[in-house]
Amino acid sequence: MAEAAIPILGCDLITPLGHGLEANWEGLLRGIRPFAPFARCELPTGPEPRAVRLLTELELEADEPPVLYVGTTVGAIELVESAVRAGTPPPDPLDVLLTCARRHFGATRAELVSAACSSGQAALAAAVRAIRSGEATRALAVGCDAVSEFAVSGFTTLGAVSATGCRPYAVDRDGLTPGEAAAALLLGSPESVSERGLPVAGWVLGCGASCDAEHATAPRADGEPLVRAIRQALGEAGIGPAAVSAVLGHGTGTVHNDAAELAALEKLFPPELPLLSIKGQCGHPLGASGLVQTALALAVLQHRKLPPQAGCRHPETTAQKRVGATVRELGPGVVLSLNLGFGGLNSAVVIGGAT
Amino acid sequence: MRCFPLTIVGGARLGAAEYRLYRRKGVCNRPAADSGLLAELATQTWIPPCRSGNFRRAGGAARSAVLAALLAAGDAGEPIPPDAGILGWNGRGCVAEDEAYFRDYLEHGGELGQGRLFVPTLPTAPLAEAAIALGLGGEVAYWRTAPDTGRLFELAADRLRREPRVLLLELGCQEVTALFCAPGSWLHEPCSALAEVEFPE
Repeated sequence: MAEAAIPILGCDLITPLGHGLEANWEGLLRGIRPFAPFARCELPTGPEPRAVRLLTELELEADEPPVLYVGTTVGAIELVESAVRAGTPPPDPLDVLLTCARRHFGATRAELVSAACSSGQAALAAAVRAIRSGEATRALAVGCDAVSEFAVSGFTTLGAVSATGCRPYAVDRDGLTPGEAAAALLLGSPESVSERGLPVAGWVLGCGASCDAEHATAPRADGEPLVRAIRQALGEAGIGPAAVSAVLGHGTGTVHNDAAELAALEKLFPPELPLLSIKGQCGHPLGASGLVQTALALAVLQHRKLPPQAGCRHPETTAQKRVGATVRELGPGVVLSLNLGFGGLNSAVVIGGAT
Repeated sequence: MRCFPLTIVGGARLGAAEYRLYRRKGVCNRPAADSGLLAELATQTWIPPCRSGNFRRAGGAARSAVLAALLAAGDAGEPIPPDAGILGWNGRGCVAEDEAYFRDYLEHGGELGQGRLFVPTLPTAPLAEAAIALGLGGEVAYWRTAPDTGRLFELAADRLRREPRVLLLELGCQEVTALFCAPGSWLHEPCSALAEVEFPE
């Protein structure tokens, strides 16, 4: 049964492409890949951990204090790095980021949701449910993770990092590019937004989540659990696969992630449904991925265009009709955003345009 | 007291020397080694079968989560639906795992870490292992909220609108508490941790 569509009142994001929706949209259209060798944001210097400096760059004010959901994988992990070097007990990096976020956004209540690389969309789903249940009239979902020696060394150890820059959905893909980002979406209750005549940037129509229950890091190859998550999201939105005009995929550029994702898409959608992974230009911002994607979905829906897939010169067979080398015009419909996290944690969100 | 729209169908509290079950009641001594307890549970007909291929390689938190989840599932006395989900909550987090990974990385020259130490640095790592062990395909996420079980059970009730069962897991410093919840009605006086939720005597 369809659930209530939740209005998106605004968003902000900072990625290696720049700060703000317009800067990121322009960067995607130009196909730039600011990897040197990782995908880092331009940030002011300061003593705070990088994740905190990223998060506090976000500018998104609500007309009333929101409840806040923060999605992250490792939080302010630099504090652990420096504490271990100094031989002192580290603070909890998740608590540090959560406290900073609460203070920065003036939230009435702040909670953290972690679901590996699906953390951002898990935070968004939590914000949606808070609005739908009547618990809040304003809910803010924030995703944030920073490039760190901790994460880069860890992914390198797992053999997951590309030597030459990630190539999502490419037949010769060889891994991810570590990246960072912070993104926020502000949601409102449909009634209060309508009463106050507030402009709406888009709608969250449906959310879905599932677990592969298969492996600690690798996704299930046939993509079936991801299919379940997608069906849940479409079901909440009250639509079928035919209503999807484009997919913003997780597309890390690793062999297994992209294969599982493409397998899932093949089961549900026609082979020519357009697909884009922003990681080809932003790198992999871990827990921030989903909120960067859902924010950029608003630009996709506004312009009804999908930027080209950067980094993919030779698409995988099952991606050949999906990924494009040029900007593509989109037909009517919604955007589906996908994440696949370590442990097989899958997330799907359906975003609708403002009109 | 507050009334929550859920019921606890099975639960376990696992410590270093003993474990307690929610429905079956009583306290049972346990082998000190996690592998010993797993082997013991494998002989019990009331414990569901589990996938334990990664058990020995997994970190301590993951092993505790798997064992507590198994015990809770057995305590429930009914098959756990494959679309049940897991909600991890508060507890000690994974700072210890973060430290262990990074210290090892530095001690070995700061070039390569160890994958077996890196993977457990995600707060969802133990939850994912429990999902693998029991074949649970619902949503898996770790939440950090104010220390109020009332809030946790609100979240659980919301999850039960979409899933037939949800496993609540709190990995504390001394013990792990696992509760399988189903839709129902339950009176509970909120406290600050799942470890404080009273098990029937």
